[in-house]
Amino acid sequence: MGEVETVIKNEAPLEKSVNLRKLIGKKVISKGGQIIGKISKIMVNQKNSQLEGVFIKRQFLSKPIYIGRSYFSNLSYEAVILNIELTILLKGKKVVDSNGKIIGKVVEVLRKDSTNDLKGVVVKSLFSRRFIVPRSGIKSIGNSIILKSRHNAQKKYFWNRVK
Amino acid sequence: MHKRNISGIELSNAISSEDILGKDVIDLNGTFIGVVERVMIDPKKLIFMGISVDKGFLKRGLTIGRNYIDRISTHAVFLKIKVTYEIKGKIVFDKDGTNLGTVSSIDLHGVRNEIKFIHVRISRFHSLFKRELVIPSEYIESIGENVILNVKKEQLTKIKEE
Repeated sequence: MGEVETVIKNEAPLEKSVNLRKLIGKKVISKGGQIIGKISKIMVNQKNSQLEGVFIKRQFLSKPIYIGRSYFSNLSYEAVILNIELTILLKGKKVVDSNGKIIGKVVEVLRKDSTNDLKGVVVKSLFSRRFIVPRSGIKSIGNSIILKSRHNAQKKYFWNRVK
Repeated sequence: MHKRNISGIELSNAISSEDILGKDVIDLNGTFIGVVERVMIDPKKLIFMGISVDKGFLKRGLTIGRNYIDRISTHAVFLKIKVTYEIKGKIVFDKDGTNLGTVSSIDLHGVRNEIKFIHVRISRFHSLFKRELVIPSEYIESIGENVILNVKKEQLTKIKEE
């Protein structure tokens, strides 16, 4: 960049600022290193002009995601690294009960409003009805979801009556 | 027919090797590691030592000590660890999110499930001459679907020069 006349008061020096235009198209990576997608839009607060969040463009036919800046861990010209694992990406993961049996796949993620806090997951398998597993029934979340031993997630098959 | 019993102890809750063989092995992260191929027993002390896991066609097997086994259930063997060998092939990003390359191999502390160094095969576009980076475990910030470091790419080169 050529020499620039700077006019600032309480703001951070120019060297410590990021050119938002250069962030477009950069990767968004979760805490665990999962590449979520690429930045398509950057949203700025109309009142205080601060960065509010980014839109993430994902694979073909996947819905875009908007992530607020409170979930950002590091922002650079290479990528935005988040301080979370996105709970909405749990959709499609296998759900394994405490005995090691696969009881279905996540078809819906239940969150507290629009935050990343997980309330539970809706699970379904080929012949079963959808059933909810609350957060308290989940032991660990990783490549698949493992349930706690005391959680008894009974499959409800379509031939079972709805009570 | 009721079997005769001269065990001297209550064996009704015991499981046999046949109950373990062929079961899925699932790590702490919920990753399916493979299936139990063999059960290892100490020939002198006659105690259960661990299991040998078949990871699939053309993949090297893995032996897991009993200290790393959480429990054996009706359908699977659950581990209380994330198997560090599963890091192989994952992408390594620096603190800024720069793609450094992929994990080609790892060095462990003896036979424990603790990483000492990871060897990263550098992406072709990033370096023409250097082929591999050796990164100590203290520079690893998190391991999940991929690996994130707590240092920048430039700092890694400086550390290597020092």
